[in-house]
Amino acid sequence: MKRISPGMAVILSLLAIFALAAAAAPLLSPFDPLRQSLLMRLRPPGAMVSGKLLLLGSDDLGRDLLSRILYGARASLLVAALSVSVSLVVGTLLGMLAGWFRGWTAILVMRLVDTMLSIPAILLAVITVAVLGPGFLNLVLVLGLTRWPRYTRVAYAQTLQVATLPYIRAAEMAGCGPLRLLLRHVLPNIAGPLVVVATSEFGLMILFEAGLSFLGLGIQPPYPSWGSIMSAGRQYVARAWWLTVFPGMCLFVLVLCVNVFGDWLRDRVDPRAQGR
Amino acid sequence: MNAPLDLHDLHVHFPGRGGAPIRAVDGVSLSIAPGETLGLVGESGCGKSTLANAVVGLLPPTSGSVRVLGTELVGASRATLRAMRARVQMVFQDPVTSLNPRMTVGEAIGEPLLVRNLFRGAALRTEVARLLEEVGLRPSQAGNYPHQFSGGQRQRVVIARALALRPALLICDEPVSALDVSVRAQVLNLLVELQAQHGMANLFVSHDLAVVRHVADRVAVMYLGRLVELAPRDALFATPRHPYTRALLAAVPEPDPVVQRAKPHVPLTGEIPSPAAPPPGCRFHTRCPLAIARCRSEVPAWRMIGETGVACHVAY
Repeated sequence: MKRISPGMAVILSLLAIFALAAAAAPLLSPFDPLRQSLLMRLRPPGAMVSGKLLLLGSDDLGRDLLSRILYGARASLLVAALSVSVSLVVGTLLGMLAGWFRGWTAILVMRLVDTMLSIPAILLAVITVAVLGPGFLNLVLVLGLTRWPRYTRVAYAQTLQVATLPYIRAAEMAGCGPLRLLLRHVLPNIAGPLVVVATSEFGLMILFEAGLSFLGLGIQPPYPSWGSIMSAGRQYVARAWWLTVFPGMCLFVLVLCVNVFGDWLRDRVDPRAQGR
Repeated sequence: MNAPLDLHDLHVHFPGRGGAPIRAVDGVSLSIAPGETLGLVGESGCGKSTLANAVVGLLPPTSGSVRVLGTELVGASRATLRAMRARVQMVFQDPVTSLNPRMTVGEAIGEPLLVRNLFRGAALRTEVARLLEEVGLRPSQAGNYPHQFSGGQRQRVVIARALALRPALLICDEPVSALDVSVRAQVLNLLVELQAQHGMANLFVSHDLAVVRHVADRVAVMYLGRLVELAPRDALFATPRHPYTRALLAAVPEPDPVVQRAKPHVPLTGEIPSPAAPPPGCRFHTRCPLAIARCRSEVPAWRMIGETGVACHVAY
């Protein structure tokens, strides 16, 4: 194993903190993120209310911002993880089938990929949510089912290459069926680049979720999401800067960490970068 | 008993760019007896690897007949092909790409046994250990990945995997060309030894005449998709009949400079013609030092001179 640089250690621990915060949101939150209190509206960070500290202040309905950001991290990471999983599975499956069977299968799948890639993804997501209606499940499905073509391209190219290697022919000679050939011999050998794509997509998914929630097409109020917190705080940006700055910073730092992690992962997976 | 391999008028053509098919293998007939090693030699691009792949069913033959232990494979069902593949196994040229880098060598060797439901669990591990020992590796190495082995060791793993199903016919496609000279002899001797032990027939494809001379009982020489000569090893190396065979043998360097200087110099001029547009008549006539007018128009028939079969108008 190569040594992890100090900078990368910071990135990795920040990612771990985000994941932990999201997972343990109910334990870490000082307040109920949904409980409104008109008496504690728009308190600045550090305010004390009846003996309890509002570390990051409160919003226009008197809800504790820290608690909402913790629960919002949950929404962001969960949506991103699930939608990346959906598109990774769908995209890889289609790409492997196209690369394995080639011919008409490949033409059909790859032209569909070209079509999907020629439509702006965020626009497609907005239209689909507008038609299907917002909500957690729809959000995951929309993001997952619009973002698979990138995986398909990578899986297709990799499968084409791997399928010609002698160990695949050897496995055929051994008596492996097509399912085992694809899952046991092709998939493990194309997984590296796909994981790298998935990581970079993960950061994008967090942004998409925030963007759609900001537009009111994602997580619906009163449930918190970084995008919807910022959307609500937008009106008070002059009086209550903390409502947009803190979730915005979280979003920025998380996506930055994910992307740096993705680059690092790509360098490790890319055989040309080995031993450098 | 049926011959492990019987080819009759085998053709393997590929669709070429712009109409004319590439005739990689164009009418080859030969057979291999049980326990026999047939060396198949020829230049790069003469179709020897295509022939090997067609024999194991990895490439579909265009026409002709491939019989393995009496079973016809051309036009055979998937089930027949799969059953036959248990009896024919292959050792590939490049030991780096013929092992899945994400599978331990134990898994690789055990895979044929596992997917054909012959062994599982502890019995599988025992059998894999036995196979590893058989090819001169330690059973404790079963959990290692291919990159932890040297080229020669990897080829031993490939051989163990090929032996797992106890095939009647082993196809070796340039099994030692990718190996260092220092380990070639070890791997070749292992192959010869195992073949004698198991009574396997062997189709040994190589462009290296010295290697073929070491392992083969009979030698077939291919040129541009056709057989030009097929003879017992000693006959072929002592009295090559076909002018192409003579040119090949003359090109093998001798370790003794005196012998080397005394060798007949038979230079071949020109390049091997394209298999998409093979020359009419004898395919070798464009480069043959002995070519006569007849060679340009009439395809030479296969004829026997003593023990040697040859396709040439002028050979004697």
